[in-house]
Amino acid sequence: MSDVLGYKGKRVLITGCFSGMGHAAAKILLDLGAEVHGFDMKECDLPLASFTKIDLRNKESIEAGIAGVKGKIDKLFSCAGMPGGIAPLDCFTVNFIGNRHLTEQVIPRMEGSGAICAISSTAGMGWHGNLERLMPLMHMTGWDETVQWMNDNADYVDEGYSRSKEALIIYTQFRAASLIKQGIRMNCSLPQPTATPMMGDFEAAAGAAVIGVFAEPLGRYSTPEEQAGPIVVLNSDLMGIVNGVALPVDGGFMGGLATGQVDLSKLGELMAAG
Amino acid sequence: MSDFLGYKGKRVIVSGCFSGMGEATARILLDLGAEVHGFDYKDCALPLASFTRVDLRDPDSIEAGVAGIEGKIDALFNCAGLPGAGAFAPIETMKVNFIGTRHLTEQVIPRMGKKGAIVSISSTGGLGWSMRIPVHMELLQITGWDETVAWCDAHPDQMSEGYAFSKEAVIMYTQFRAAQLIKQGIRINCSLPSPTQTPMMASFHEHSGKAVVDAAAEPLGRYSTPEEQAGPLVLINSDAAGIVTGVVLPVDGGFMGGVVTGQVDLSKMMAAAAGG
Repeated sequence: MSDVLGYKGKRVLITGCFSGMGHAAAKILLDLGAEVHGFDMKECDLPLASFTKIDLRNKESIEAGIAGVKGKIDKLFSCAGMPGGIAPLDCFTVNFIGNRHLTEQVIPRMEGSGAICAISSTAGMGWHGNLERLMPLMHMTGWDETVQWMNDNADYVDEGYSRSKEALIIYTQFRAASLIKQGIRMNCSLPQPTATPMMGDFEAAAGAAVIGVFAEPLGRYSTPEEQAGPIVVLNSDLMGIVNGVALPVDGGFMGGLATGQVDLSKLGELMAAG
Repeated sequence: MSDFLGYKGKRVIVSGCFSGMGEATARILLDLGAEVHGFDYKDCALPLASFTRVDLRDPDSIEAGVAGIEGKIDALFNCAGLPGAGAFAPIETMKVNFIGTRHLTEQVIPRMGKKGAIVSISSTGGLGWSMRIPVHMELLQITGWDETVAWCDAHPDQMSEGYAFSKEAVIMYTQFRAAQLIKQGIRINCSLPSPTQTPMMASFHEHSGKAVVDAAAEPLGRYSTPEEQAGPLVLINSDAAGIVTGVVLPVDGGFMGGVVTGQVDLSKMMAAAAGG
């Protein structure tokens, strides 16, 4: 059983391959024998089959990128993402609108068999409480009308990050139910705080103490490699019928919350303090 | 990257290796080079490193089984289970699916040292866990075998037909214990299979009704195979799953995600249950 994950010779597309989780995932996929095509804003140093500079805030850039990768695409890893706070609408556009547009462009190219995995976040854990408010977005598929919704709801989008990650979780669950009928699976992961180049921005925006609460009960930030393994696993053939799943990769944070083992009361104080 | 999953030479225990998902899991683990020790009520035909007949309704049998395997244990796969809904007395189902499975797990934990991984098979039938968290939290505080059985006997209304409650308890136990175990370097997760073509299916059809079971097979539109359930168990317990712990992983073709986003219509299932 030399290729139990089934990546040998598979044509995979990965966004955000320049750094962090995307870079780590691309590296594993290359090791597993996949033909890896990378998209990012910045040049990637790995020996990829192809690299295309794309901007997820720009519809035409996304479409041109995909048109440039010829033939069938077997797997998509949506690892590109942006922190919130500084440019909330850009963040929402990259993390949700652009990611979704890219995904919808790739789906027909999977030709009836494929797997998609996006990186969401434990910061999107409030998705259930926002389900009603975010569901209309799922039925709104055009780029311009979605951007319009975002602009009209800028207050609700707030700092951008949490809302974009919630929308991504809902999109994954929503879309998975119809995609499975076409032989395509779609899942997402929910990383806990991770030592990536983005971490400095998170700490600046929310404060290291707040981020630290989300690193419990593991008690440390995870590494990009620890986040890359599970998404490679999720998109592998051995995952069979796993579909529409939001997989926490968080050292037990979400489970600990549900069973009273992680104390969020600290969070309120920390955020109030500021 | 020859052993990305890290199973080569790993010492693993699989309960329920006689048939269905447990058997399929043991088979994949053997192919990946693990040293597989099997527990079941019935003899297993696979070329295992060892096989022990264990009755999960009996704490002495469980303890003897674990004692019989010398040395470190790297991974545990809790695949043994019983149906409910009248096929067995509710307390029997509860013993095998939760009390015995938990007892086995707690016996294995000290044998894992500073690193290990545990996965249990729960079920989408346990999806009601979040509706009665306080009840389950009360149950989780009770760790002794006799005390747990006594609690169940005193709460027949909660236990009901046995299956759903036992699977909810596995989900709660997984999430609860994960937060503590990660501090010791041990991970614990569980899976929620959708209806699967195993020897247990005949019992589910007989006692729950085929229409109800079929509704839970949406949106995939078919029953999964034991192999499709085994793959995710092997992956979640692998080194590649890094820090994944306390996770309740649906292996259901999108059923849970579809229910929550209105893409799977549960009213059909309820109507079938009411009519059946």
